[in-house]
Amino acid sequence: MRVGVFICHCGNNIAGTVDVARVAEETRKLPGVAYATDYMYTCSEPGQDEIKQAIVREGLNRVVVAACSPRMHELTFRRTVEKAGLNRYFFEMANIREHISWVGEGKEANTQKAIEAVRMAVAKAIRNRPLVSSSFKVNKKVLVIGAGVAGMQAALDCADGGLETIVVERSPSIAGMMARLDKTFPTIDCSICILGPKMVDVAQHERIRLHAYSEIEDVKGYVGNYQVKIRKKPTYVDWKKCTGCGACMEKCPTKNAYDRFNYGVAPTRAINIPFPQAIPKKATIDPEFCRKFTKGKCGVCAKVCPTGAINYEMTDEFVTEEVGAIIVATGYGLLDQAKLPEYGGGRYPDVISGIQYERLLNASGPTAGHIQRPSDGAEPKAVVFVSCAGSRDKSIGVPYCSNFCCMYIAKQAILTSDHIPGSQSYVFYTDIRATGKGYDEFTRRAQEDYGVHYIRGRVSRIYPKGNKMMVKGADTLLGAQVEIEADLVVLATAAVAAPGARELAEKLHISYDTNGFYVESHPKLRPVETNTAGVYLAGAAQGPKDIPASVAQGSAAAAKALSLLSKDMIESDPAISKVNTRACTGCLKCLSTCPFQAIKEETLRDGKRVASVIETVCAGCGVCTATCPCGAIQLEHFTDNQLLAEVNAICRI
Amino acid sequence: MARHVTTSLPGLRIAPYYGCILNRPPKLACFDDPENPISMDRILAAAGVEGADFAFKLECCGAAFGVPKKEMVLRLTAKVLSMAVDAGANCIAVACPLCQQNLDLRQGQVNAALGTSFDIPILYFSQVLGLAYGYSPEALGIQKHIVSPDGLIRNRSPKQVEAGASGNSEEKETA
Repeated sequence: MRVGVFICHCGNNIAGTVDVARVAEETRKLPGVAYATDYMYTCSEPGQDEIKQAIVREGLNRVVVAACSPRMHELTFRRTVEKAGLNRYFFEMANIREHISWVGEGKEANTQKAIEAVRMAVAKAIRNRPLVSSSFKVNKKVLVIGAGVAGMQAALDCADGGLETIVVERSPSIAGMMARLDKTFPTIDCSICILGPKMVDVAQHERIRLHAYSEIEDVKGYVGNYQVKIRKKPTYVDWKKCTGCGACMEKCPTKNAYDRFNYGVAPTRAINIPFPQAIPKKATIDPEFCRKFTKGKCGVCAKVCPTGAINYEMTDEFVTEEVGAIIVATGYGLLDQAKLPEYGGGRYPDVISGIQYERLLNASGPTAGHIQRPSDGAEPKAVVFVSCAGSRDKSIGVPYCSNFCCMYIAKQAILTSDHIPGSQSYVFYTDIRATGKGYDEFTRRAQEDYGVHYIRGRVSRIYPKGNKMMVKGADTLLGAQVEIEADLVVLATAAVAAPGARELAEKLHISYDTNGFYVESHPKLRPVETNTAGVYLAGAAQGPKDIPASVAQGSAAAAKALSLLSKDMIESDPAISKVNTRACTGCLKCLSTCPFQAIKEETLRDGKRVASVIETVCAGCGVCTATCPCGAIQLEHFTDNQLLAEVNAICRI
Repeated sequence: MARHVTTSLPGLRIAPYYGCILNRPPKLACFDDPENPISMDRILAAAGVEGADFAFKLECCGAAFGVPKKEMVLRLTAKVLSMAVDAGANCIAVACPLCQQNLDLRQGQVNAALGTSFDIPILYFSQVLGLAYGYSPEALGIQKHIVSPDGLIRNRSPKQVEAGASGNSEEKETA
């Protein structure tokens, strides 16, 4: 055995707190080590050349690099040793940066720990076996979950790039949050006017198929070959027959249904088309309010429908789509106002959320664009905007900034001034976060040209007094308490994870953070990838973001999917589980613990029943190896022998 | 609680005042919602008295500053009293002796200093409950209040028992 070890300085990152020369010196004494050296930047091109030359010069057959996390550069070095003629699994990495130099206390202790880490890696490298990837065919179709602006952008880019694209949207119409906005900052473009054409493109694209009012039931498979079971929820209207004429909506006797599109600003009918530009423009019955479902009799819509599309007996329908890649663009939700009892907690009709105010401003909203406060329909003369309504507040579990509120508040204040001449807007802010292009100019315009009164401080309490809402807060610049008499209060409620985000993440085997937002593979360098190969992220599902950022991510995720599916075959990772059929007793405990359904039962020729790993599905997590009572399942590249060698190396047996 | 009510109190329209620290800090008090408590509202409802929707149920009345900053206390007390009157209440219910003492004792001082004319009795919620249970005002110490509630409780009368009324209230309790 001839192991070569390369200790990286990583500039001062490692060499600053670890005596790398001594680590190399100690390593040379280990059995099996033929060569050990330290190097300034091992990952640099000359650094990699040094490894390749040493392999040839010293006749090395195993390579260990002690540097950063394998998540950073393992793949880099595997390719390096492969270029020099070694099997890529003869490479082993010791993490002496994240685990030691960045966190350790004192150079001596760090150096000692680094020596041990290298000893472990050497012990494992000696026992590493050559592994070879197999390749498999990919399905050149992509699934986009969520048809807000990010999902639509991703779908259009994928479809334009030649991929068959399937779009699944949970609501009756595509469009997402952007369709609810009146105007967009900082250009005051009409939101639906710029989104509408994109929606039509999605609907009419020859390579896009849409499942509206549908949810993901189940995801099986692996990169390149996912099987996705989609649940089409019952609309109680046969969409093949529905022409979107709206006669049912006009005649429906239930006039108090909750309007999900308008966030309850005004009631709607139990059967409705959510908004004029809806795609598909089809009616859906809300069984929570429909009298046919709540009381058992009515049937007015069935009588008036000219095409006989109403079907109260409709049930869930399931379809399975096979795709090679998945783009998750499920967007965000809004904090429930009940979590803000000091602001009325949803008890006062004239304290509304920002998205509700968008609907009041919007010409196709319930008030036809006339700002009328909910309690008495009066036109407000004084409007108070409360930023950070929940955001940046650890006490209610939203420690983060919701990203876009500062900007939309400035926009709404400007629009208020346009809609109601002589009105006065006030903004309570924590900080004005206007970092995008043209954003700071925009918030200044609100203050300087439109006379919006910005007050730095938080609101402590909102309470009614007569027909006014009193807003009490601090002005931290004046060091005084202020109280403002408002006709209407708009809360910039925090952006939170979309309802059901966690459940979907579990179906997709992707991770989410403590706030329920999906976690990207690397915060800087892999912003739209997840740690599950073939699953990509776009838009606010990953964290609150505004329209341009969502669109950019939609395109980025599409580019990733296109590049993955541009190949006909992809290589599988050979570091997966393998069953030793002679040791397997067929208890099949592994079958029930495998989180990926990658194990099946198999009967050998002699009639013995054993577990068998489906190679392409196995993700190499190792749960089965810990489950197996007789050690019959081993995870390649992490076998018991390899791991025990590492343990022995630091326990000095 | 509703089951034992024997007397109706049609004259009362009560604003429940919890004061600033009955339920705060939330982690120490471990009692009711820190921003919108409703336990006293529910007790008064069970006693069968009409409640007022009172936005200042937690507003500070300043009682603790009675000696060093009396002007401030008068101002804060006036705000609490005036909000109760604006909410249509003719009486305030409290749970704390300091609240009671401050709102009751200082009403005259508030009126003298700010030119107001508050005349709103401050009862303990337990006194309201006692009245509803048929105790005499004397037994409840009501004659000791500075602002007299006599006028408000004069027309109290034995509760009319409607058929199934108690059954209904029980249902509400369990619900």
